[in-house]
Amino acid sequence: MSSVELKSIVKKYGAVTAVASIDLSVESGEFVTLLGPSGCGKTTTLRMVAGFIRPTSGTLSIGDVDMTGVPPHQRTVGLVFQNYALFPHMTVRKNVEFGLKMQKVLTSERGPRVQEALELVQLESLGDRMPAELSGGQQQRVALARALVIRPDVLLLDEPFGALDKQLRDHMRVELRELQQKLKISTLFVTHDQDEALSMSDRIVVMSEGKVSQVGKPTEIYEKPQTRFVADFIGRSNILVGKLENKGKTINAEGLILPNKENMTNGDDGVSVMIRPECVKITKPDPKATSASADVKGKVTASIYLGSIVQYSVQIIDGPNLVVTQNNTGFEDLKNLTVGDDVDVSFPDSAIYILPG
Amino acid sequence: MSSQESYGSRLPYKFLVGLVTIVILFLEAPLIILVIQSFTAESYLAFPPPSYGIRWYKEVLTSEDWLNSISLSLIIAAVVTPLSLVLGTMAAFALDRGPKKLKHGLQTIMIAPMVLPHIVLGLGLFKMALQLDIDDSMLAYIPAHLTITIPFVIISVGASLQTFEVSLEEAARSLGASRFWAVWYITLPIIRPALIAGSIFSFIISFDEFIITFFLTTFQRTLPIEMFSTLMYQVKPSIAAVSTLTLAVTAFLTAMLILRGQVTSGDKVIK
Repeated sequence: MSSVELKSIVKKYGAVTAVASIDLSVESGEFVTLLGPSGCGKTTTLRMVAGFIRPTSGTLSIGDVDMTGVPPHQRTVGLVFQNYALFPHMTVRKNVEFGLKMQKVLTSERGPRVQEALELVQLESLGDRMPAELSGGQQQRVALARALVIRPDVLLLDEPFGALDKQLRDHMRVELRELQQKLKISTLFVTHDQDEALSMSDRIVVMSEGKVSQVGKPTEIYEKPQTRFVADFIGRSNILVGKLENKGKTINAEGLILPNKENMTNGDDGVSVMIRPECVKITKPDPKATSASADVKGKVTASIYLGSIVQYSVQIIDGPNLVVTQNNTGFEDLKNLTVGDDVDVSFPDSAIYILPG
Repeated sequence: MSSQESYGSRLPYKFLVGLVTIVILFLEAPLIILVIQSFTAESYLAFPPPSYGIRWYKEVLTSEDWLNSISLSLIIAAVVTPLSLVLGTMAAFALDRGPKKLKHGLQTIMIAPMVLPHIVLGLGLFKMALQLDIDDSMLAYIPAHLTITIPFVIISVGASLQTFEVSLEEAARSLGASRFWAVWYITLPIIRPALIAGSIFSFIISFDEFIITFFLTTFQRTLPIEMFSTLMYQVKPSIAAVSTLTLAVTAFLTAMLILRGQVTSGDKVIK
């Protein structure tokens, strides 16, 4: 059974197409993330699931019931907003109780259910506070409790960590994922933050310009991007324009000769090659070795210190400029690399990924 | 202290205090004199009064003419205020949530009666009331007052809707509240200060209205009209007493307005 299913959903505003025919499903208990840059249609899609936006065409079902034209209050979705949208004139308890009151749950039943929801987010002691008296993280939890207390068919989260500082965000990420798995609640999560998407999701839907670019598990999205857009958007990457040479056995990528391990072709001779910066290894040239020992030589043109990693720009001799990241292990030889140094560049064949699209 | 120093030397600051005092005196002196005169025990207006008493308050509160006009004004204001609040709030919602294209045009039209010369408005309403044969009656006064009170509600409610976070309503709707109940349970309580302000404005303006009502009355007299016609042929201290009473009501309501504003803006409810 799928909790949410979108079939050929289109949303147009006059001549502008916000969402161009999307098919999407969230299976029962699954955590699906809509990931993309702002304006890609991810929030519009979420708001269509919530019922605030009516699709121009297509059908939408929640819990296998057609909900395409059903107003928001007749759907059981739990919605968490980026700004939390807690009711400022009500206590935490009243906020959480609101949904039960609207759904005409008996007063005697409401108390225990509110308590249960507050315990779920570890806020049972703060029930009588006003939202303005809570910290950002606590407000976030109240919003979550308020959405969960109505036992929704699906939990919808619209950039819920956007307003939190980084440490709290990382913490809430883990907490939310644990809660989601404990309750086995189907979840549709919207974010532009790839770290959040990669770390929390069962599946990621990468969106661009109102279309789905790729759907897959986090590992598939990161390691096997299907389009240049996905490769560019998720993580840093070097994307080189290549040409098949030597009867398709090698690829000449902007002067860098790479093996064509899977004999990939792309109709004509042109291919796009992706090399992740962390897969590239740079070392100082060994003075004892002969000049032929390294295949690829380069020169450091920039270095950015990022704490746990150091990011270098390396100009390959007669080749492209590569972004390279190295773990900051504290070893002196890499630490002493500065702009202008010559380096040997190497990467395993497995680091070379040919983009299908 | 620091704001004082930021003006440089102390001399301009003293000058400023002096200027402000003069302006305040200039604005308030006529009112203060009137209030003092209203407590005269003589049968003529004089300042300062030779002797003091509440003779004229007694007179006003036992005179049938005065009591009739006071009650007529209070009844009109009491009917106008809730109508103005409901209609103005509905209009403000429509302007805020409706199509953006129409917003500016419609808003201008709805607010126009507030700034149009009341004498022109009065003339127009008079013509209309005559045609409909409703002049000199509530049926004329109430819509006439509404045309000038509703804009105040539209402005105060509209301003607070502009800063209102619509996602609060959406949150309520996602939790099972229909549009109406979302507005009822969430939006209205949050914009309450604006609703109160709009109501108080409506009451004061209706209670105080002279020009437009003057066109519409023949035999009936609201309080401002009674005051005006009394003045036309004699200046008695009763005028001062009535004025002071009117002033007291208005001042009380205005004070509530200001106090409310302080209470709510300092309230922890507002983020």
